[in-house]
Amino acid sequence: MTAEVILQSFFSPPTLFFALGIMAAVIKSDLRVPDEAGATMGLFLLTAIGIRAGVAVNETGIDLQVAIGAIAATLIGCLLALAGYTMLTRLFSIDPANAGSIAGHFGAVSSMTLILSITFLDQIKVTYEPFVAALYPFMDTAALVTAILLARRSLSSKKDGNGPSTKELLIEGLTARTTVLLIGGLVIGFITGPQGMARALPLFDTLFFGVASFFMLDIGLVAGARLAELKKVNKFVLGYALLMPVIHVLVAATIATLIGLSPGGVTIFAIGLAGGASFISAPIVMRTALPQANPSLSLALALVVALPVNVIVGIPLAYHTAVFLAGAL
Amino acid sequence: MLAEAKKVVIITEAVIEEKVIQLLNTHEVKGYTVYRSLTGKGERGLRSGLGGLLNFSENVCIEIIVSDELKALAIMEAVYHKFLADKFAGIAYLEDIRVIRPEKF
Repeated sequence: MTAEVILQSFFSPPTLFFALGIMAAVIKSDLRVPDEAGATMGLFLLTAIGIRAGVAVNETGIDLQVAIGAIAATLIGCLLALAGYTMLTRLFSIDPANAGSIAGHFGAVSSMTLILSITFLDQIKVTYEPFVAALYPFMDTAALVTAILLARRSLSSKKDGNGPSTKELLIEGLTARTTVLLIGGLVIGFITGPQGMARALPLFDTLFFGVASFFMLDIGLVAGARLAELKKVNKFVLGYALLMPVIHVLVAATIATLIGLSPGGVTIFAIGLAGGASFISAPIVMRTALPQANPSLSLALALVVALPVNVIVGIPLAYHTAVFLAGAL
Repeated sequence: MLAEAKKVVIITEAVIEEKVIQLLNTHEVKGYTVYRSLTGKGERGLRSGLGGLLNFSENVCIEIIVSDELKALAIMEAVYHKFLADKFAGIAYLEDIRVIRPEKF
């Protein structure tokens, strides 16, 4: 990977808007993105991913690879949460609740990282299997449920009957707004196809990159406000947050290449799904499922450490790894 | 025209709003009011929303009016043991109020 690629992804509009948001928060500017506007942009971006994928799947057709992809995504979700949890508890002696929460955040999918990995490929004009983004809920739910169950197993001696059951967790994951919008958009795009979408698609296609860039301003503001929390973080845990996404990318890229995805598809699978650490949906799930964990810690790691590293280094790294593996395997 | 009643006020984390309400329902309260998107500061630091990204660090305020003080105390005790004792941020307090149409509570 050349420095040029990293510079290019650093000087792209989403990263610069993110930096602007952080800066505005640090200098205590009165800049705010209104709550409803931020939420609307988030909903728009997820719907756009779903619809674009659906239209593309309509053109390419469905094959067995979709089912294999879904199984692989589920298994990787479980595996990454298990690896993260084991590492945090055994190597760094983190308590089960915080280890479960952190491993869950990192195993779960970051929709922003997914969005930016798609805009990255769009920019360098690399094609990818359109269904890959829609594997989001499989990996996300698998990782969260695994992390919670692992933590609960260790905590059970302390007796805690209030948290949601495994069944409730699965239902929560599969009915979450992210899942409904992504899968819903995919189905709408698939049913209507390119002709049916002709009039609606420009909205989702043309505005996608601009909205993704602007949304990063909102995320930058939130991240900037939480910057100070990093000072309190244990150095090993900080190291984990820096290193774990890279491990996720390498493991997921290898498996995605083995199941036959193209380098573009491998990139989205490896960084957009596996590499990102969730900071929108996971904090809510973890707060109720593992209330003993410190919510600020895992959020700061996912938002302030993993996201910038992934956006600047992780996405180009994943793409180059994918290209390398396509030649090697 | 006005009758004495008790108002239980619970200010806690937005993420457990539904769970608190489920608990209220098991106490057969006849009604409640929820105020959302609240910000404040307490033992666990500043609690405020995150620009529409997540409401998980916001607070909600849930008010319940009951005519019977024992019932109000039972509700407060249940909320305390289930949520506020150690796991979630929040406070609960009781107010003496006067209501019109006491049969509603």
